[in-house]
Amino acid sequence: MLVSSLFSVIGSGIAMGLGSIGSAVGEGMIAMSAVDSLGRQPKASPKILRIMIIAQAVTETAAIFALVISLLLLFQAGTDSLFKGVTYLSAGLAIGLGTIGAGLGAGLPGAAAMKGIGKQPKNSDVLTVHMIIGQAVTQTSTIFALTVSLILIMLAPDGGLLKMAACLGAGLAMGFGAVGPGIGDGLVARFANLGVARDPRNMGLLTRTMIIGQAITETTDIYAMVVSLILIFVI
Amino acid sequence: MDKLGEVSQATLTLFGLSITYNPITFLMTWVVILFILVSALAARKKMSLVPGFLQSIFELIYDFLKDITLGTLGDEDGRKHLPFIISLFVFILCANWIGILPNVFAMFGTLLGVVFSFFDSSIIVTFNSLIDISLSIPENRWFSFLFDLPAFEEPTRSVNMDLALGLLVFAAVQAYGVKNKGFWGYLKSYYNDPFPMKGWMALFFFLNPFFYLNLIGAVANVVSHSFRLFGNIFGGGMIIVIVSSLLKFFIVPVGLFAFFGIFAGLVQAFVFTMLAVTYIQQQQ
Repeated sequence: MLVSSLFSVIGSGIAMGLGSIGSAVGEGMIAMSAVDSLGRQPKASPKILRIMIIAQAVTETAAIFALVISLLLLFQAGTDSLFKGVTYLSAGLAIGLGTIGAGLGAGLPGAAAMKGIGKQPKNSDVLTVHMIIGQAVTQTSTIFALTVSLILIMLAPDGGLLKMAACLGAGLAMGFGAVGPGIGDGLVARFANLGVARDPRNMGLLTRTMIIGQAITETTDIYAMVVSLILIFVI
Repeated sequence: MDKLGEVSQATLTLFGLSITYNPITFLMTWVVILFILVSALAARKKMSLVPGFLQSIFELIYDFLKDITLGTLGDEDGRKHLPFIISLFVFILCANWIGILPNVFAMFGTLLGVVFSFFDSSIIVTFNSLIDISLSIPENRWFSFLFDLPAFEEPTRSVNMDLALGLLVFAAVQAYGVKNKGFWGYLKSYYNDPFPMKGWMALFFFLNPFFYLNLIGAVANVVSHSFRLFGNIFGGGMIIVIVSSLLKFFIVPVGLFAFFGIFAGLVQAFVFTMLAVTYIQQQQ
């Protein structure tokens, strides 16, 4: 009883502690670019402020996912099986590590869009739409981490030592697997946004190429999810 | 706070199968649908060149989404998909915003309890501090049913609703792909993209790793599309419920409602709709 509660509380702390790293840095990058743009175009300040808040709210998604899992784990403390304790710890690891990449990655296109608006405020509508698409696709990796975490939390409490180790492995696989694709997707979206800022007429072409590029970047993330699901359900 | 992780469940037996569903989600979905229907009919009743309040709200949404959809999909295709896109947006927006209505019934019940405690000695009110009031009300009072009525809860907070919306968009996108490219062209897009396989090589499409990648990618899109909405709305709703229950449903945390309810609800409805437009664009 005590040991499993310990694990779930530790998992809760890991989820929120690691989960706030990426989003915080990403939101900081957006605000940094916004302030830079304001220095260049003080007249466009209401527009820049509005779009900065939208970009930061979308970037915050990753941290909100971590908060959800963290709170769920906090209220699960007091379960009576060691197996559930280990799955709670793995769920915390999966979402905690899994939000680092997406939080950082979602900050990159936001920063690029703020830079573009600073150069040419009349492109702001097109850039906002493109930025939100880029950020939303960037978050795919953390959504997979959320899915695996929720599966781990709701897993039926039966299994031996091997299954426990497999669940821990699944959490680690998903968590570490989501770091790279998040940042990589963010880089793709960043340069697509810079391209749109240069010439908004290319938006259709850039969006299509960006989404294909991001889909292939996410392949490693899908491998990680497939491996974690195999670890959870097959072993 | 003990109700936090709890999901209300009801079981329905239909043709010998027992189906478990969430009655609050079910009820709230119908509340949202009725709200949209009534407000749309009311807006249509008094149409004029100078728009009234309701008409101008609908025109605002229509103009905003029309510009983006026609700009992305082109004039002809955009016009075809516009009703679907606007319906999605309006439904998800109303579904996300219904959660900002506070738990009116419980608040009203608490107020009534405080008032009646002056006349009725069996109702005990304890003021622990200014914002922490605990009430003990006997079961048989006429207003105790107020505490049993469902709270306003976003239908999109339930993962079933989000998966249904994601699958709806998926089906619409694939149907459009088949219609636009023809059946063979649609199948070809799975193994021809990004490396084309010409002539007899097309028979060995199963050796192409990109075939499996495209297949998994199509399914993974549905998961990410629907769980994005679910995680955001569920997380925001959870934070609001925790803070409100710490305040005993007596004082409304306005800032949290404004950010997680109104703002995040609007942004997520827009993100969901924009991704649907982008998926349609990929099938062109």
